[in-house]
Amino acid sequence: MSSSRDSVRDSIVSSRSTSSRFSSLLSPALPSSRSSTFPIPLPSPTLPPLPSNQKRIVAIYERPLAKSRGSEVALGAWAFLFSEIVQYTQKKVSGIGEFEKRLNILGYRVGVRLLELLPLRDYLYPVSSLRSPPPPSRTLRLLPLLSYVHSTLYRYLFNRTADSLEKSTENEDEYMIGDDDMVVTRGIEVPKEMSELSCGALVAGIVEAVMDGAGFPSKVTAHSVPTPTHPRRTVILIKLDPEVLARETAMGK
Amino acid sequence: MSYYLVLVGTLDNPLYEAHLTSTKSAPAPANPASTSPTTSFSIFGSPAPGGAAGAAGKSTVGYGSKNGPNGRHVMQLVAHASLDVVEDVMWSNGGMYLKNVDKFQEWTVSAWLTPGGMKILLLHELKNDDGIRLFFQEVWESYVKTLLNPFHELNAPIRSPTFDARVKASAKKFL
Repeated sequence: MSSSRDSVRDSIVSSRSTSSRFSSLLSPALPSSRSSTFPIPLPSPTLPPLPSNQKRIVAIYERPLAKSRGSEVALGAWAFLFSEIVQYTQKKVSGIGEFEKRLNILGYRVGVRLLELLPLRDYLYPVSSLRSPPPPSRTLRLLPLLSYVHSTLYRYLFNRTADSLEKSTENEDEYMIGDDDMVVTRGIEVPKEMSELSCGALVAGIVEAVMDGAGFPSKVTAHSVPTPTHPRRTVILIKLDPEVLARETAMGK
Repeated sequence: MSYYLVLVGTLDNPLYEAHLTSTKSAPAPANPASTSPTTSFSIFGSPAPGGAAGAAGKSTVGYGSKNGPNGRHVMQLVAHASLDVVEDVMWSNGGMYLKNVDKFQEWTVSAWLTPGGMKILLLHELKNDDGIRLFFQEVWESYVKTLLNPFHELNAPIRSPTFDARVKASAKKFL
């Protein structure tokens, strides 16, 4: 049992960059000194020797954060990467729960960085140059945050808003964001015996990081609920921690 | 004047600390005839001329001065003690820049809350709202660039010398 925990830990440490959309922001990867089963091709041009490492590190801090023109990547490349991630994870886990947990962790790491990056970009590079930019602000209440996830975040990730935002009628602390056709899972077919698995757990991880970072800790999971019109519909279920509810009622509805 | 900057992570752990000095000179210190104990000494402990030294006596002498008996860890203590106040204020104030959240002796604490839940605290004596706000923004920007490194573990201490150099350069520019 402890060995699987260790392997989860190793996977966190050595996980690859999760989404090719963000790969342009990351520093060019130095060839890993850890042993790997296949040779990692060096990025071209080949990296100069060590003393100029310092120069490269400085260059990372100097790099502007604006969205550069060539930073979007083809969906096919993402689908390939994601399918490799899923296959790799499948070999290492012993059940659906752990599978979803790993994908969740990968998404979490993306979400933390996104949460900080998007407001920073809005602030540094305001869309309309006519007015002075509004001072940066944080979301304090739950509903504005949920609609931020539903529209702004989704629009940044997938170029469209999510399809629905609902509050669960049974439990006070559950909210659902529905997506009729989740882009990341388009290439993944789940066999019948694993039908509870949803690879949308990656997106659930991103949402969980956003909720946690903003001060609304919650458990976020993804479930696939195929409907006749949208056979690949996925619902992201957000279950808030009780302290969030307490604070919301204290702050007054 | 000197400043103390600390980046505090979500587990209330300090990720980065810096003692900064500013090239701008302080406004003239309170005249020696003043009887209020807190202003009779400038932070670096150079005694005001005259007998005010003896009159004030007490522990304002070496507070936070780098060479004083209490020294730097007092600044760290004060900054972290103000975290409670910051957490109180953060739910009523929607902006990121919180100025003057706490005051202790001659220092004020200002904070910048990043959208990701990180707190950047600055201990300062002088009132310099705009400069401090711009400084905070630059530190935030450098922090986000550090975060974007996929090998950077979240809530890990930041040890990069480049980050250090950038923070010090921003301090020189704005403080």
